[in-house]
Amino acid sequence: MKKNAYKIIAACLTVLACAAAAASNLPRTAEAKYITKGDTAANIRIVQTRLKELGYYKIAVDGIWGAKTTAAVKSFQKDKKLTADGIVGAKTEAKLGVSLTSGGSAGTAGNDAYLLARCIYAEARGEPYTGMVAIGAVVLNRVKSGKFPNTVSGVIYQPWAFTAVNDGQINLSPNQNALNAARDALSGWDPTNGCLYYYNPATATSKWIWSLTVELKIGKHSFARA
Amino acid sequence: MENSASKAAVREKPPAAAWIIIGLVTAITALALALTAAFVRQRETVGALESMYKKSYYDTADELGNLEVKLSKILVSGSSAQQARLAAEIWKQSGETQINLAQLPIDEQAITRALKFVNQLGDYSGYLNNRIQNGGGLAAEDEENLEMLYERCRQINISLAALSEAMSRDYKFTAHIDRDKLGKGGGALNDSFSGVENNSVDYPKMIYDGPFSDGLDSKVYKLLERLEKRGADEGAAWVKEKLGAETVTFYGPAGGDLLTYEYGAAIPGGAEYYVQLTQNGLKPHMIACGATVNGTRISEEKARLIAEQTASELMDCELKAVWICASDGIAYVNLAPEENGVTYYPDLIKVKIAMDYGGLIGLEANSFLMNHTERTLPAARLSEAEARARVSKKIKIESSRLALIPRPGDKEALAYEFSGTHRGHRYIVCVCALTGEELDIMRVVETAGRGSMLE
Repeated sequence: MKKNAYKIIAACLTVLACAAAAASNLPRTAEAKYITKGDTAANIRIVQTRLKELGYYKIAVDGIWGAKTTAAVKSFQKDKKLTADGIVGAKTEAKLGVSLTSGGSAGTAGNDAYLLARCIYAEARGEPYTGMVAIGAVVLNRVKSGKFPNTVSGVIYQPWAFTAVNDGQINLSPNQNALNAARDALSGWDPTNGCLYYYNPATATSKWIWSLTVELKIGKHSFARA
Repeated sequence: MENSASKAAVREKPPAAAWIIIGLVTAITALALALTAAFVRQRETVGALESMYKKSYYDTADELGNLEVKLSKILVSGSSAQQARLAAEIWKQSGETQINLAQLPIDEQAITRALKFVNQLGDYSGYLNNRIQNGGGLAAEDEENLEMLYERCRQINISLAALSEAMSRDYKFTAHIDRDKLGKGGGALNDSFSGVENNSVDYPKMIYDGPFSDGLDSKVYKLLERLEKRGADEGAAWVKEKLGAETVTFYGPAGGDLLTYEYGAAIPGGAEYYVQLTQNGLKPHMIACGATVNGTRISEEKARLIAEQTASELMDCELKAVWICASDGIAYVNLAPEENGVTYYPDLIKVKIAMDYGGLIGLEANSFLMNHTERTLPAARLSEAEARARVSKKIKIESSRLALIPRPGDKEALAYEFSGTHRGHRYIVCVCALTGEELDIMRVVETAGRGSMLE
């Protein structure tokens, strides 16, 4: 009996230790955005462009961290009496007068693209590529239309607008095809030519949606304007 | 002795039935506790949802009330400054109203009509604000439109006031959600918006320079107006010849404002194109391809040249690259016609080039088909240097060009386009070549790992 109690206590301690270890690995709030070799091309471009404006960087802005970029950063740091380590930390960022994006974050435009990709993946994975672009285009056509909310998140999260939001599939991670389809739709690709609605004739139950004039069919979906 | 020992053994070990009863009682108690916890959690979740709906409702009702008052004020205001201020307030408040309205659980048809009203009210007010600030007063037509918008707003508020009584009797949105119809419902709220629509008079269309104008409901494709309708077989032959397809499948015609033929085209290497050709003139409206791109083997410069050559051939028009962005092994290239040193942005074409084998994997030509036509441009009244002087001194200008740029309301303007940087960010500034007005300013937004966008 005593042995069992010890086992239970030991198991609890192990679980607590694992939880503590896991907690210690949780991401911490970034205090500074250290930019060095291998960082995002977006941040590197911002740093290179600024260094070029200030005359420290002479070659083309390419978003690739090479020896010339490091040398330019060091030279700038030396002039500003900073530690010349070639790394853009908080102090160098402030002295440069630029604002860099946190790792992985892509600003408002990037958030829209990722949310759109998640919607496309949840609603149309398994459809041909054009069918995925078409779903993204319908979301964006709704954003442009006066009959729907005016933002990508407003349209996607409008109550009961998309079944994938209701059943939670919107939270699945999109694959590369869905990301590419979102990018295409945001760049203006619209196979539906302005359609605002789509449905799968094999599963749609709404009488109203069946009353709409179908403009075209792509994969399993029928697309309608209004 | 033996008898009493066995009795004691019976006392020490309860019968199997007793164990089963203890087990069942424990299981039932655990299940009851779990169900109670789940019920409490579900009640809290529904309560939170109900609170969000109620907040959206009360905010919507407040905002629509304020909009009605502001519309009534603008109708009796005799001062341009006051009219402009009220129009700006209505514009801003409509934006807030549409956010709350869109969160309400109303039937799809009722909500789209209500949203269209609010969006159009805001859009039109923004248009009026700009016009009044630029020296234009309210015309008789504007006053008619404002009267009509006021009347509709008033009707919605009367209807919502009736619902407010139900609200005071603990009306619950969540109790009116019909799960069998994917949650569409809204009960009395639904009825009130539908009622407004049914009782309202037949309003005229609102046509003005704004993105939600009724005038934009039907698109005109200028390039196609002078081209003749061609057959689907001819289209299939075009796809085979121009795209080098091994096999072409005709999917059928597509309707709407733009009549097209749709094709599937298998190309050497296993990839497949989806192609839309216009029925008039057999012009490509869209080419899409979901081929996987394996790495980057060609430079951006090479991708630009391929894009220019391929797009010019497919569109039968000399096109120059005006924007390029490489991301995930794909070069996104925007192209526009250039004549006599002027770049025609309204006729933009977008092309995707796979940077592994250098082939076309996408083309989008909607703007080109809508806008490409013969134009007579006015002569620039400002020199490049005069326009350059109008750009903020903070921007370090690196290049400039003369361009025709699209303006709201299907209009176009001749402008000098300056590209430069400030604090590490790239800006594009357009200065009108006729008036010197700064027409537009865009910032190139770098997105991590996904290239750049214009904002």
